[in-house]
Formats: sequence, structure tokens, C-alpha cells
Amino acid sequence: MRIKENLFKQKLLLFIAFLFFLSSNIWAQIIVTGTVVDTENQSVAGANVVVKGTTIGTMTDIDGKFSISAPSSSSVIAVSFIGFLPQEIVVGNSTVLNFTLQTDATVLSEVVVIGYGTMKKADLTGSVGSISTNAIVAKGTATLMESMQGEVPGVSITQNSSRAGGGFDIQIRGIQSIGNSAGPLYVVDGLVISHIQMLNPADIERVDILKDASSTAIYGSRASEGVIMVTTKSGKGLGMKATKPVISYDGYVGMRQKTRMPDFQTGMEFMQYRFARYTQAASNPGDGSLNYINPNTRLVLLLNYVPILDANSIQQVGPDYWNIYYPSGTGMSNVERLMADGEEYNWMDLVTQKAIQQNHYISVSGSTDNSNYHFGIGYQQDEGIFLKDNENRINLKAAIQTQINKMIAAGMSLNLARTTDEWGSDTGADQAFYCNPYFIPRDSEGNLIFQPGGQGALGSTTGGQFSSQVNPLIDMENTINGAQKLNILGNVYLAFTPIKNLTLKTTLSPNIAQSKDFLYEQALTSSRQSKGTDRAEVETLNMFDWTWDNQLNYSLNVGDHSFNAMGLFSMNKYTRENFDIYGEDFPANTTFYDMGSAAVVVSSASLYTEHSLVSYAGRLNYAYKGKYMVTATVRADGSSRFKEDYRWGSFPSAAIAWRASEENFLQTNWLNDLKLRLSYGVSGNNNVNDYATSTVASSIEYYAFGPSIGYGLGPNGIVNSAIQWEKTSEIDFGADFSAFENRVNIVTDVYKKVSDGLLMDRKLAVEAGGGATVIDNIGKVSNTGFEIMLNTVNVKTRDLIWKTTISFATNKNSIEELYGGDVTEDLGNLWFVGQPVGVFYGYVYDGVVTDKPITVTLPKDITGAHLKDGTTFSGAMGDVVTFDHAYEYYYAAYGWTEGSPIMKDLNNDGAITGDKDRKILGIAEPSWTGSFSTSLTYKNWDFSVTAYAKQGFMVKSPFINRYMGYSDRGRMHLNWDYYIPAGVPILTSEGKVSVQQETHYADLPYPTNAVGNGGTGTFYRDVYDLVDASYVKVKNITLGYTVPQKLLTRLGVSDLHLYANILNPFVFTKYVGFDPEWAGASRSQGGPSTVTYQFGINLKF
Amino acid sequence: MKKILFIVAILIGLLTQYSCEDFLDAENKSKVDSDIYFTTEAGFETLVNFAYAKLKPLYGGTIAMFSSGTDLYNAGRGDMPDVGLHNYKDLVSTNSTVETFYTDCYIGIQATNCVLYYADKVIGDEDLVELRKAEARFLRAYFYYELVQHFGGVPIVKDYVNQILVDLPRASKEDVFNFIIDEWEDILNNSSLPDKDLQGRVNKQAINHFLAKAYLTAGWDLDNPAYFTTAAIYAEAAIAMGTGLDETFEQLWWPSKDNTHQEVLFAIQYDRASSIAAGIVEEDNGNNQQFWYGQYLGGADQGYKYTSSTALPSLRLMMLFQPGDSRYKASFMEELYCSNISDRLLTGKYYAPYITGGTAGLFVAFYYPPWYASDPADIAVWRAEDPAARTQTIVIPMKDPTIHPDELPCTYYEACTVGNAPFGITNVTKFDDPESTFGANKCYRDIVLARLGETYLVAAEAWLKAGGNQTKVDQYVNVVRERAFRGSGLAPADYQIMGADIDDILEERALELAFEKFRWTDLRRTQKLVEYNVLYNPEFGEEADFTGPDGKQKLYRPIPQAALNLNTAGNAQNDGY
Repeated sequence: MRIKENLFKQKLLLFIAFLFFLSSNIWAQIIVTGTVVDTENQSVAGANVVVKGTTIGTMTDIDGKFSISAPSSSSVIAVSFIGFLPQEIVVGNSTVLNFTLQTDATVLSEVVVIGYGTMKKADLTGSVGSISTNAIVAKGTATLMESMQGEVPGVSITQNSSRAGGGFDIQIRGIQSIGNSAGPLYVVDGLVISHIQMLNPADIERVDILKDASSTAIYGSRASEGVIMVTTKSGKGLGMKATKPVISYDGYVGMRQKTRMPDFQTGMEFMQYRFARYTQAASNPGDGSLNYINPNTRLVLLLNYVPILDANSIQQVGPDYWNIYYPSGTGMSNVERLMADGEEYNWMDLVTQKAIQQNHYISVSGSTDNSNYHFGIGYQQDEGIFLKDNENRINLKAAIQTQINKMIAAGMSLNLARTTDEWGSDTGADQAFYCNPYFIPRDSEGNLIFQPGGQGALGSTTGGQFSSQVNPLIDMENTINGAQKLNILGNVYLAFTPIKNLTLKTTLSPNIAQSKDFLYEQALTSSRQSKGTDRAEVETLNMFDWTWDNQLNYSLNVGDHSFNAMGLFSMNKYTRENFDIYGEDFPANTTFYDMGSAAVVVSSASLYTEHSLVSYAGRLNYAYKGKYMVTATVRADGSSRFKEDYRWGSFPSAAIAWRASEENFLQTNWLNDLKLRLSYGVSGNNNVNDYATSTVASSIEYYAFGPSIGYGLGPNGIVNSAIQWEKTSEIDFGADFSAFENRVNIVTDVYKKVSDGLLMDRKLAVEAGGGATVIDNIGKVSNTGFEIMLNTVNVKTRDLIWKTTISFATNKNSIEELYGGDVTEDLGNLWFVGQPVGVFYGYVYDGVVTDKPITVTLPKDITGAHLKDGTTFSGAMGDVVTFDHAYEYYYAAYGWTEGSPIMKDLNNDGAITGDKDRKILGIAEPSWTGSFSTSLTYKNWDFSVTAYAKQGFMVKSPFINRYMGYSDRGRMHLNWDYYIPAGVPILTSEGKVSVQQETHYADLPYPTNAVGNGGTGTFYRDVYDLVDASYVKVKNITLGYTVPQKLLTRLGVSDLHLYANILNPFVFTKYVGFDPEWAGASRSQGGPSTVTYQFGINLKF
Repeated sequence: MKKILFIVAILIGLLTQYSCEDFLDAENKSKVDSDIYFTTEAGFETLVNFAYAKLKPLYGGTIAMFSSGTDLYNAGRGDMPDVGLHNYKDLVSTNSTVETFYTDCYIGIQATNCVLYYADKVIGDEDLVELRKAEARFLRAYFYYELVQHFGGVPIVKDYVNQILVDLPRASKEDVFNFIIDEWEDILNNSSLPDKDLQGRVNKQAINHFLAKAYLTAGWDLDNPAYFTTAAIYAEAAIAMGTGLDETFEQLWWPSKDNTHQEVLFAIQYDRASSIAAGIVEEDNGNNQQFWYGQYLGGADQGYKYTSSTALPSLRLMMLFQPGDSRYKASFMEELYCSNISDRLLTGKYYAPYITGGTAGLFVAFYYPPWYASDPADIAVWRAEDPAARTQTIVIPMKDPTIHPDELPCTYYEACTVGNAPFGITNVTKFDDPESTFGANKCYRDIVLARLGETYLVAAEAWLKAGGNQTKVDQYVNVVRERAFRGSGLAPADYQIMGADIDDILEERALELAFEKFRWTDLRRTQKLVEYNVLYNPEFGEEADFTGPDGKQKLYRPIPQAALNLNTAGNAQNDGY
């Protein structure tokens, strides 16, 4: 090897000498010499050095030196080298010009990982978004997923849980499936796996997201929702010089705390709401205005007294008045005492914690002449905001590659992750914030009270209580809920290069996942209180999956033509076994460690499942003069999930690109790159269960014949054995633009994706099997979208660099066809042809019935409606009538009283009916998403901010459902502004029982004890929790400092970067719940919004 | 390097030897493919059991389809199950109870069709397979019999569905009746089914009974008088195969004697001992028969049985009972026991009377005498019989007016419904399962679908409708009454009915078959649905409530909207919806 290198050097020197010879002989003008170095003062060999506007040019030698003759002192010497920003200097009077090239952030030489290979970004024909290791590490997030958020336009990533180890929803270019969404394909170091949660972000080299069908088609069958290619760190390059080992440490510690808490009720606000919720119509005046009383004051306040009147005949119970009823101060209930003292319990603080976050990752990498290696170990801890929420992970990483001889190279990598999760109690998390401020957590001896809002806790002797809800702290304390997971990803390869440019590579990639989920609940928990015994459940999973890829690569450069061909044969097999056991009543409280001691084994179950896939694929890349590029791929997949006649699917694609900037007519000073791309391709999905095409004997039933039990088994349903691959075709047109010395970069794409033959659940006629559902290739969905990413270097001086990245994406999703075209809507599933998948449908809330005048067109004949002054009214349908008070009309027409919600009578027929007065109220897909990030580097300091926006989407919020719901009157709610009619009894903020003097106008209904759902009826209940959760979130603010080299060399440290990072510092939204990002999460999964403060170090020896 | 090449060559060699198609046939190790399992004799037998088990969802759950909207039951502390089915006014095509019932029938039809599909493929004892085939055909037609009674004509599906099927037109009522009758007559005449089976299998005596009912119903529904005579002949055939009403009514319904009653022709089977031995959780395999028709009797630790607080016996039903009728005592828990009379609500001993000597030392917490035994004098006599247990008993007569459990006067209906009235009305004992633990779905009594007591009344109705043979009508009604009054000391003339008309037969059916699953279909068949609801259903509004938006009466159930929506045949909805 050494000999070869030397030979190369000699040749190069000769060549350079020859160039010198040429230049010195033809012109004899000013000889300019100099050196070209990069920012780290390393010489740049082979850089182009030209005299601008002439054909005079040369290249730097191995030491970065050059010599060139310039025609005059006004000549401009331009130096360029791939991967660096070009630089120009006017010759002037100097004969020595030294160039320091800046690294180009948007390097065209960047190598992108595409399926089964890599490619220079410049040669790419498809749409691929990439995220570099720096971008990932800088985010300081616990998961790779979160660090990817906002990095690539068209890739929408949303955290769907705030719990430790919580998950993410990811969508690439919209929803492709109706019903069964497969999600994108994750490929880690070439291996297809089901998720990437177990990876340590510090071990990620880069992430490339294949978006258009021409890129994804190489993964054919499973790629219709995009492909996320993750490359973990490994040793660099083979056959290079030996390098000394580099030891790196990346780590941070941080603290997460809850923030931006919603406006929950204070104790008095809660009592006011509770009081209102007990008001009842005293007598119905018949005109819809309210004549309310509150007959249940005792219950309202949980007091054991009979209220008395003050001089103004107003009942009084406020803090100033307690001693009226209890002169001796005795006999008060606990709630009375709390109210009298103005004392409240902050349950928010009781159930949450300040959470620790840390990540430490140490790695060693280096290479010898023939081998390279990379080892790493990582430790992560990520506490959740709820008590007992915690995730711990250890990662081990080893990668080694070696050149065995001239023709053969081999390597392997192994990635092992052990994760331990603890989640406390889901019920506890769900109920945590539902305790009102007068729920009493502990008794006088400090013991937790089982029912903190129950009559015992409140000191009531009348049975009055807020709720029999179990103390969430007891649930959290008495529940062990968690999981242990082991993931091992590995691959071993052997590459054989028999002749130049031809490589055969065979890779075997095993993937092992084992997990144990456990749950133990003591007798004293919400779920076990009625049974009075403890219970435990253990679920284990044992997954083994292997992929064997055999690849043939051939590349050829002939003149201006370059070819690259890839052929693939691949096999994959997946097997999984589950074992679950659930028992009750453990005498020794051995939790889930001694399942055999359960008095009752309620159930035990095991399951085996497998599937396999055989694939053939080919790809051909052709480029002419680096100007015209063509890519064609085809992949054929056979899946065990389909029956023999239907199992093979083929997925072709083609793409062309034109680097217009290489054309002579576009050679300008300012344009660096302009490439137009056009692609079309087909990808697929086999997103059905294993064995979905045949029935099995399952569905256990028992039937006794006399004294003997008959074990019954039937088929598990009706199957459609003719299902096959669903296919998505996509056309993408993109442009890459780079100008002004690459200081402005734009990448933009428009696309249309059509997914046809979607695998969907389809209901048969009820009479065909009794309400059976089968999977069928029906349904068609389209996605049309636009994406743009703009990178700019706004300021660039020696000391100061300021960069900005803006990305924007919009996608329009639409159901094109349902059930083969016969049906235009499926109300059961809320699917409408012409509308997106995921719409919200319901009655239309139109404000509160007020006492203001109103003019309406009567929806039906109305007679005998009593008006305020006692007169009656009679009107015919279609009459335009003015009422002095809106409630007179609403009461006459719909029976709604003042303060009730108005539900829009869409067809104006005088009745609210399910089939006529519901419509599409909103869609779940955002109208656009975008991100903004900016970084400022000043000398050794760096500062960056990233923000992410998701706008124009609706969400059915379980949080709003509970905390703005009218049905419960004993527990915590948001402090929302509701309408209060004049004349109703109220509890004033001083605690007096009084009468509302003037109408209090508000947008939300008045809570009462009348009719259903706290006076709001059933229609309102369907829709009030549908809210717009649009948000802009500042994800990171980071300030870093790179310690100067001078200070470090003495310590033997080559690189030291210190930083402070704030995660999620600001959120801008109108959503009033916890965090708009998980507004749709169930209450046990969605917790408070958080902010995290981190301090981190990146260190290299 | 040669070694490596050698290894690579071997791998590639192996690869080419390996058939892709074999590789792509996924093996299912934890489940057996239907085609493999159900074609074995053992597997086929489990499939037959599976089909029988499909009867359970129809009858083991809500009683709304059989009892709501009739003269015999009204609300208790809770509303009658499914308000729409009870008051007709709110009965719409999206009613979920109706949809569930309709769906469950077709689930049963699919299961029986599946038995018939695999019967042709199973390798095993051919005689046994033929027998099971006949059983499956009986069950299939039985599901259609339920459908035709509730819905009129429905789509007839005779084949196992294992493909996409969305176009299934409704058959006419006639076609459905013909299908039922043809099937049952064929297996009656051409199968080797046993004449009788007390263990729950289909038998010829039961087929005779159901043929009688099918002809009777078809006679009414199709207005075909000829069918009534045929119905009567089949009923008599079923009677001839039995031993009469030899057991007393009390013995018939006494717990833990299921499978011993010669009178029972066909019953859905439940067995606690073998179920628990098989490791099944009690509520997973039981029914909730004993939970319905009862006023609330407190929670888990109060010692009384778990009740639905709904579907109470109506005043109409109570007033039908005559002195000497043993069916009152055998149908109701007349005396409710407790262990501490001063804490009577919390110390219940509901099942004590079923245990020999079980009531010793206990107190009667509440006594619910029939109307004819509730004079002060009667009560005094009753108390004097056992003063220790009865002196402090609260006596609530089952008549109007009566008293509330808090001992204030009130109407019978108020005792059912007003002021959260636990203990206000006597509980029904017909389905009591003393071995059950507190809770729903914990009853392991069989659900009787056919018994001779009814067969006699079917015969009577058939002869009545056939015309010209009142003697036979009276004869059969009085067989039933004879058993009811057996041991009363009354002379036959004192209890016999002569010249019975359809109302008399319906009254007798009410007394004999109360709480069994027939009332709604009886009233519909006999075209008394509207009349009896107007007269006797306290929660029914006015006659106009039967009339739907189309101006026609709701005399059948609506075809579920979901079924109409999913079926491309464009099936018509029933009148009234």
C-alpha cells in the first residue's frame, strides 16, 4: 500500500510539474505563488486555481502550494475545491497569495445514503432530505426522532406522549393509507427494522430520508410511506492512511420541569363552578329565560350547616362568615376549614417532579492501514415529569472493517441497547390533575388518604363528597409498571472486488428484540379496590429477524459517460413469540416475580408469528458529463402475507435530472448550481397481519351438554384470500439551486402521490356472516404537496458567520375512492371522498343562547310561545321575526333556555338531527408545517435557535374533553369563562351566596344541573373538545463555546466544545391545554408541557 | 482468499437450492388452519359446539327483545332496557339492541353454515357427521325463525360465507317460513336424531314443538288457516312423545335440577361445575337470566342477589294470578330473608330458602303476598305461623295500592319506580342460581327455549285458530291449569277455563311463561301488540306512538340501518320506520 501511495504522489508531482511547464512557457507575466489551506490550516491538495476570465489554470500540489502566471495586477485568482466555498483574490501588487477555504455547509460533494448504496448529492435524481450528526447532537434530545423534528420539509414528526420513553407520530408527505397506516420504513445501517427508539442520538452519523418514489422504490414493497435511512457511526474509509485513535465524549446533563401550565381553577373558582352546576330551574317561566334556584347549597359546599341570611337577605358563607355558623370554631368540615383559611392543595406539584436527563456517550475510532474500527458506549437517563416516570438506556456499539486482501473486504457492526422503563401508574397520571384544590392528599398523620375527595377525607357526615376517585399518589405508589427491552442490531458483510469497478457484497443482518412488560397493582389502587386483591401481568416478546442482502455493484466511466449498476437479491425472515401471563392475589406480594404464586391465574397466552420476504432489485444510474443524469430502479418483492397467486409485486421507478448550471449558457458568476429533477415511481405496502389470508380455528366458545363442557372452536372470521400489494405511485418535480458562492441554497419539490388498492377493512353485508369485516384492496388516497428549504449564509466574515435555514411544507390529502367506487362516504369511519383522511364531523356549536335581541327566519310554525311580557306569539315557517330576547326564540323553536349552547340547525328545519345537522368541522392534517433555525458563530462562540411550526389543524383533545367538560361537578376544571344569566344564584368570589345582578356574557354555556351534561345537552358534548391546536414551538436555544486549540494542546485534547441548551423554551398557541404537540394524546399519556435546561460537552482526544 | 470464495460459493449454491415459494409459505405454529382442523373429527366436533354456543348471545344478555314493550313488565328503579323498544315512539332503525340481535342471528347462521360446509369435507364417522349436520340445520333454521318473527322477511343465506359478499336481497316472509318448515320437516323425517335429549342436543320432540310454533306463526302472519291444523298436529306429536306435566311448577324451576326435566324439550345449556373445572371465569360463561326482572336489592356485601333494578312484573301480571295458583309462589321470592331484622337491608340471605333448613333462625325482612292474600287478616295469619321470624316483617302486597318499603302508602307503580325504591317489588325466582356469586353473567341455569307447558298452549292456540274444536282448545289450556292448581285443594271446576279465546290463552301464557322469552313475539303473532301496550304498559304513551313517519305501525322491528347501508341489494325497510 505504501508503495502505491508513493507512486501516486510521484505521478501527481510529475503532472503538476508538467502544468508548471505549460504555464511558464506560454505566458511570461506575473508569477503568483501561494498556499491553499482550509480553516484548520491543513493544506488543500488538488484545488483548482484559475485566473478568472481566462483559460489559465493550475492545481495545488500535495502541500497545497501553487504557482500561476497572471496576465496583469488586476487579474483575479479564483480558487475552488469541491467541498469548499470558492474564493477569489485580486492579484494587486503581491506575488504571494494565500487562500483559506471555508468549508461549504451545503457541500455538493456530500454523500447521501440511498438504498443499498451511497451517492453524491450532486448526482442525485430523487428527493432525499438529510440530517447531519451535528444537527442531531446539537438538539440535545433524548431520542433521535425528536432531533429530526423540523429538519426535513415534508417530514412531520409529532411527539404523541409526554411520558418517559414516549412515542412519536411520523408522516412523510401525508397519510398514504386509510385505516391501516404502516408508517415509514426504518433502515438502520442497511437493516430494515420496526422502530429507531433504542438508538442513542450521539451514535448517529447521519439520517437520510427518502421521500419520492424514485428514491423509495428500491425498497419497493414496504416503502410507500417513505424511508428513513439511519447511519450509525463507524470507522472512516478503508485503505486510507493509518490514523491515531480519536476518543470522543459527547454528553449532557439537564433538568426538565413543567411549564406553561393551563389555567386551572383555584379553589374558589372551582366552588363557583360547582355551585352553578347545582342550580336548577325553580319553575319554568316558559320563555326560556332562567329562573334558577340552588336547592342544594349544603351539598354544593359540602357543609353541614343550614345557611342563614344576612341583613340583605343574602345567604352568606364566605371566609368572613364562618364564625357566624361556628362561633366556637368547631364542627367545621375539612373543606370548610380549607375555604375559611384560603388553603388549597396544589395537586399539580404533588404528582410531578423535576426530572433529570442525561446522556453520556464515549467512543473510540481510528484506523490502521488495512482496518478501521469504532467502539462506543452510551448511557442515557430520561426522567418523566410524572412521579416514577423514568427511562434508562445503555448502548454498546462496535464496528470494524478490514481489507483482507486486494479483493476482499469484510466488516461487521453491532449495536446493542438495553432499555428500562418505569411508568408509575397510568391511572394515576390520568387522574392526577383531576383533583380539585380541596382534595386532601394526606391525613393528619401524614398518611395518604385513599379517596382524597371522598366524604371521609372531607369530614362530611352527610355523605356529601366531591368524588370517590382514588388518590393518584396512592395509585402511583402502589403500581409497578414498566418494561425491559433488549435490542441487538448487527450485520456482517463480505465484499469481493474481483475486477476493477465490480463489487459483490453479501451482508447478513440479524436483529433481535426481547422485551418484558410488567404491571403490578396492589390491592389498594383504583383498578383493584373492588376486588381487594393485587394483580400482576407479565408480557414477554421474543423477536428474531434476519435479512440477507446480496449485492452486485458495477461502475464504469467511459469518457463523458458514467454508469453505475446495482443488482440485489435479498431474503428476510421474521419470527416472533409472545408469552403473557396474568394472575391475581399474590399472598407474599412478590409482584410479578413469582407468577406461580398467584391464587388465580386469570389468563395465560402465547403466540407465534412469522413472515418472510424475498426480493430482487436492480438500479441503473447513468450520467453524461455530470449534466444529465438518469436513474432507473425496479424491485420485485414476494411476501408470505399474500396467497401464492397474489404475493409478488413489482415496483419500478425512473428519474432524470439536469444540472443546468453545467451548461455553458448558464456559466455566470453568481450561480453555483442549478439542478432540475423529475421522477416517477411506484412503491407498495403489505400492511396486513401475518396469516391474514387464511382463517384459523380460534374464537373459543364453551357449550355444556348436560354436565360436560364442550370446547368450541370456530373460524376466526372471514378472510379475503385475494388481497395483494397496495401500490403508491408518485411523481415528483424538484429543483436544487445554489448561488452567490453557495451562500443561498434552495431545495424545492412538488409532488403528487396516489395510493391505490389500499388495504382497508371492509364491512360485508351484515347478513354475510353477521357484521364481518374483511381486508380488501379498496380505496384510493392522494397526496399533493410542496416543499421548500432555504439555506442562507447571511453574514460571513472572519469572525462572524450567521446562517439561517427555513423550511416549509404543505400537503393536501384527499380520499379519491372508497370501497371500489360505489360509496362516497363512510360515516362510521368518517371517510368522505374528496376530503382528507382524518376529518372531524359533528354538530356545529354556535354560541350561547343569550338575552339579547335576535332577528330570525322561523324554521317551523311556532305558536303559543310565551314572550317575556306574557304575550303569546304565533308565526309561520319562513316569517322573519324579531324577538326581544334570543332565548324566547330558541325556547320556542328548540326548547333551549338561556345560557344553553346553540347548535346550528344547518337545514333550518326546527330540529337538530344526527343525519341533517352534522358536517365536517375540521381536519387533522396541518395546512402547513415549517421550521426556522438560525446559527451565529462569533469567534469561538456559537449560538443557535431552532423553531418548528405546525399550523391549521384540529384535534379532538382528551384534555379539553375532561377539563372543559360539563358533566363532572366534583373535580378540577379549567377556569373557563362561562355565561351567567342575570338573576341566577351564584357564589361570589368572597364566598357569599348571592344573585347575579347583570348578565355575564361569555362564549361558553352556563353550567347547571338541568337537562343532560351540566345543562349543555348531548349535541354540545360531541363537539366542544374539538379545538385548533396550531402552534409554533421554539425547540432549542443553544449557546456554545469552543475552547481554543492553544489551551487544549497542553491537555492532549484536540477539541472541546461546551454548550448550554434550553429545550422547548417557548410555545405560541391558542390551545389552552398542556402542550399543543400532544393535544390529541390520551390523558394518561399527555402531561404538562416541559422545558429542559441542559449543559453539555463535546470532547475529542 | 480461496477459502472465502469457497464459502461464498457454497452459500450461493445453497441459496439456489432453496425454493423461494417454500420460503414464502409462512408457518403458523400457534394456530391451526381452519381447513386442516375442522376436517378432523375432533375439530369438526368443536365447530358444532361453537355453533350451539351462538345461541347464547341471543338469550344470555339483554331481555329487551323479548320483554320490553309488552303488558307484563315495566320500569323499576331503572328504565326498561332500551327505551325505544319499550315505548315504540323512540324506536328507530339505528336502535342498537335490534342491530345486535339481528347481527347475532346471522353470526349464528354463519356458524351453522360453517358446520355444514366442513361436514362435507370431514374425515370421520359418517353417521355422526350426518347427525351433526341435522343439528346444524335445525339451529340454522331456528335463527331464521327468530328473524322472521322479529323482522318478517330477511335475506336467506344458506352457504358458508368465505368471500366478499354485499348483495343479499330480502326474501319474502313466505320464503323464510317455507325454508324453516322445509328444513325442520326434512330432518324430522329423514335424520337419525333422537326422539328426546335432556342434555341439550337437538331432538325430534323439540323439532315437533318448533314446527308447531312455526306453522302457528306462519298461519297468523301469512293468514293461512290451513297451517293451524298442521301446527296442532305437530304440537300433539310433541306432546305424545312426552310424559305430560308430571312435575309441579315449583319442581320444574327449582335450582340445580336442570337436565332432569322430562318437560324440557330444548334448552341452551350451562354447567357451572364443568366450566369451572375447565378453568373458565364464572362470568365468562354464564348468563344473566337471574339478574333481570328484579328490583334493586343492594350491593355486593348486602347478601341479596344482584339485580338489574329494571323489568319488574307489571301490575297486570300480578293481578292475573288467582288464589290457589302454585305458579305465584314458584315464580316469585315471596319472602325475603335476612339475618338481623334491625339491619334488614344489609344482612340479606337471599338464597337461604333453597338450602334445606337454610332459613332457620333467620327473619323475614320483607313479605310480598299476592293480591288475594294481603288482607290484614291474611297477614296476621301469616305472621302467626312463625312469629319469631315474621313479627317485624315489612309486608308489601303485590297489588294497587300497596306500600313503599319505607312503609308509606303508594301505588304499585310507585313501588316500582319512585324514590329509588329498592325492595319495593318481589323478586323473580324462576332462574335463581344459589351457587352464583354476586354479579351479572353469573347464572348457570339453562335457558329453556321449549317445554311441554308451552306445547299445550301452542296446541290450544292452534286448535282455536283452526276453528271448530273448542273442546280441544279448552282441554289443552286446562292441562296447564291443572298442574298450576295441583295441590291447591280446588276442584277442577273452580280453576278450569271453558270456551277459552285468544285473550284467555295469552293470559295463560302470561302466567305459565312469565319471564321466559316469549311475550313480545306472542303479542306480535296474535296481533295484540298495540292493544295490550295501550292497556297495560305503564310507560307506553299513546297509540299514535306505534305509528312511524310513514304513517304505518311499527309491528315488526326495523331492519337495522347498518344492515341496509351495507347491503347493495337496496332492501326495503319495514313499515313504520
